Amino acid sequence: MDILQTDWAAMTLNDWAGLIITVGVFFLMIWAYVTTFNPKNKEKLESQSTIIFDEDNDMDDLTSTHSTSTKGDSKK
Amino acid sequence: MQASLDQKYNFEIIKWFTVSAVIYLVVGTTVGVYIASELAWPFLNFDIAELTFGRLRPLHTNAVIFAFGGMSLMATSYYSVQRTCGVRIWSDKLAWFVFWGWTAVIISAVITLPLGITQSKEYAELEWPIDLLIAVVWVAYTFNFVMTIATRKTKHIYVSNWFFLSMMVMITLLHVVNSLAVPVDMFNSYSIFSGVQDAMIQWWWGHNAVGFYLTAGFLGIMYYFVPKQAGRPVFSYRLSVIHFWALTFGYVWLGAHHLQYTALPDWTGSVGAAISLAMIIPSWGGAINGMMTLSGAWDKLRTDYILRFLIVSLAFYAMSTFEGPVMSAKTVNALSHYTDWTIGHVHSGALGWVAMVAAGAIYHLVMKLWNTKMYSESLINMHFWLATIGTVVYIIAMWVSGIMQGLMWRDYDEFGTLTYTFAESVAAMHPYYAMRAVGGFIYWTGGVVMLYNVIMTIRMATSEKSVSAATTATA
Amino acid sequence: MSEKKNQTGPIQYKFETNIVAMVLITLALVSVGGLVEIVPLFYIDETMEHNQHKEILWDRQEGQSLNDWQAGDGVRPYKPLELMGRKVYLREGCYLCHSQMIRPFRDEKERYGHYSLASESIYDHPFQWGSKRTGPDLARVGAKYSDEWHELHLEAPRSVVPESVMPNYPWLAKAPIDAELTVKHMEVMRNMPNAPAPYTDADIASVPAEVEGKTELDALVAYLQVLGTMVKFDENIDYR
Repeated sequence: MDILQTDWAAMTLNDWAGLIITVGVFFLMIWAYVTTFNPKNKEKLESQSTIIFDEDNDMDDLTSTHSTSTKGDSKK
Repeated sequence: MQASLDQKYNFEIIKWFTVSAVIYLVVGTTVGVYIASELAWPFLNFDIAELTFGRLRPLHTNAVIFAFGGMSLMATSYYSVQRTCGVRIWSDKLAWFVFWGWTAVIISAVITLPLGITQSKEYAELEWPIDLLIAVVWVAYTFNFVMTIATRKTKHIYVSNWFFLSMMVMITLLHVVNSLAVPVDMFNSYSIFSGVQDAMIQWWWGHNAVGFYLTAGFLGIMYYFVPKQAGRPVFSYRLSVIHFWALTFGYVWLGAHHLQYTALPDWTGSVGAAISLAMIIPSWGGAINGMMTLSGAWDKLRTDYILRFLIVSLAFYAMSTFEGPVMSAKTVNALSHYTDWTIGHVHSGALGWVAMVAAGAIYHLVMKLWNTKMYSESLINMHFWLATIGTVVYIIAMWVSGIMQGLMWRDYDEFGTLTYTFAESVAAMHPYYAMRAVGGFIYWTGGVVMLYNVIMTIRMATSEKSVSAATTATA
Repeated sequence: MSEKKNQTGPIQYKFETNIVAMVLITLALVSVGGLVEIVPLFYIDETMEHNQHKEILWDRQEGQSLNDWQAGDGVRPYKPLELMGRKVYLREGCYLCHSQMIRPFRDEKERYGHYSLASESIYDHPFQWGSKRTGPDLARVGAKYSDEWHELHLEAPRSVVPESVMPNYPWLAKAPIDAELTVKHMEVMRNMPNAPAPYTDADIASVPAEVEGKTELDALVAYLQVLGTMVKFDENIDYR
């Protein structure tokens, strides 16, 4: 388990900076993950996914063989 | 209906970007097939300086990345930003400046690179006057995009725009720093960085040209065009939030993995490799997010050839974003670095992911912009199969040759001496170089089919339009 | 904090609805990786081996010319002819198929020589480490072959290495090296804001004599012949 040993006294300023950045980023990522996937926020975040179908009912209908609009077209 | 949309949005500029993209796909892959053939059959260099591999290879990379990739990104970003914000592009004039400016960059590249006018930094070869033009045009492109979002009618900014935006911001930063050079004269300059620092800065640029230009930007395409083509919202918007922030933060670090075991300090290469491994998570999150958009409607893949392009591109995206971290692991990198495996990896991303997702988006765009169906459905299908088979042949050739090179170089015989000379390893590559050229040729054929299909569609649409205009006039 | 969130939504909302905030946070996030990986390379002394092993750099005495340097004396800026040869190397895109960076592996040591040091490319604007070995590594190709071999090989590679896929470079022997242009290149290298080449006025003044009657082929061969010969390595020292 030598690999887990750290010579704290030998840590240079650069080592400390690296350590702090790494640990900081780790916690930021956990925070980002938790807030994003918190069920409380689900509705608010997911509601934005239909923006692309919100515009004025465009010529999607004219070329409908390709973009057969079913579920997504919220403005029907 | 189309007339009112034509008035509301600037479709004209998008048409120019779109058609240019298709043309440059053919041009860029033509050069690619040619230089691939030069490696298999060196007589093709013909003792003509302008045709040698060393001068045409930068032309190939610049043509596919900046000409084809750039025009695709500009077409799709300027189209989707107008549609998702519900407003016309902020400035028509600036948009035209971007188009002609970028075209000027491409033409200068085509002229200068074969002449050997180069800064000799991979994927950033263009000389300093062209670099200045790139910077101006790129900032204009970004500014117009940001201002369009600033004047939007919607409250929220849609996810595709975040990805386009992060690409624009990062490429500005990368291009400016990496291109810093002291000129000797109009056509010569030297990077102000040297040795180890220059190496790190170059690969910080190099990998992020891939990470932002060819990944973040094309993910912007994915987040708009996949849901739009499938007619259903993206699988999970929350996953896209994580995908975006993790990718934006993480990708920047990866460049150092190109320099493992070199004279770059060990800590830098290791940081790059560690973050590279971690990047599997957001990359696969994104790929899954795109593919699962079809969840419950998989049958569409049977009938919708454009959707096939988009979904298969995501499969290649998932594959290369798995392969990349594997290759950045030190033990694998020791074998794979300096070999054709790297070239194969780049092309599974470039041919399989970038060009396929762009092709899907371009077919979608052509139908929307000219308000018509494609001239031929079966030609789309044909392009799809040519592209898929071409990519697979190409990357298999490079996998085999790359791993073979790596193994031959480090092989020892029973007496403890190197088994192969370098020249023997070169000779062993010949069949795979030929196979690669064939794979590239198949892919190129697909591009030609697409160009033909697009031209015929536009001709059909414009003649129909003039016929209907004529009938209304006589009536 | 959580109460506030319930009214306005998660912080994601702020970025999603405010383009200025979005641009700023993106710029901040993408800057971190580059700052952490690049900036320390400029100030951490261990990055350059010559900070621990002074002998790696040539200790040039007052009044010595570049021609007084002997192989193994240490890293020095390129001589005028070598610098112009290097320019040919860049122009022809040699770096696309040849690396100049030997890694510390047994097979690379036996095939190419001692592993490369960061200090060896201190005057290389831009670096020429390469990324691909379609042809062999050239970091220590210097003094391994004769000048005549190189000339034959550059004119027609397959005349000496039948398996080669390298293009012929017949035009190099016909292109003369221009003294005035050479001076311009040297002045740029000498006045680099970062890692300048320490040329003396005498070095610049020597240019016409050094490049007189030389062709691009001579220049490129001169460059290739100096690669990797500058440092004398001690097998007992771990430089990295």
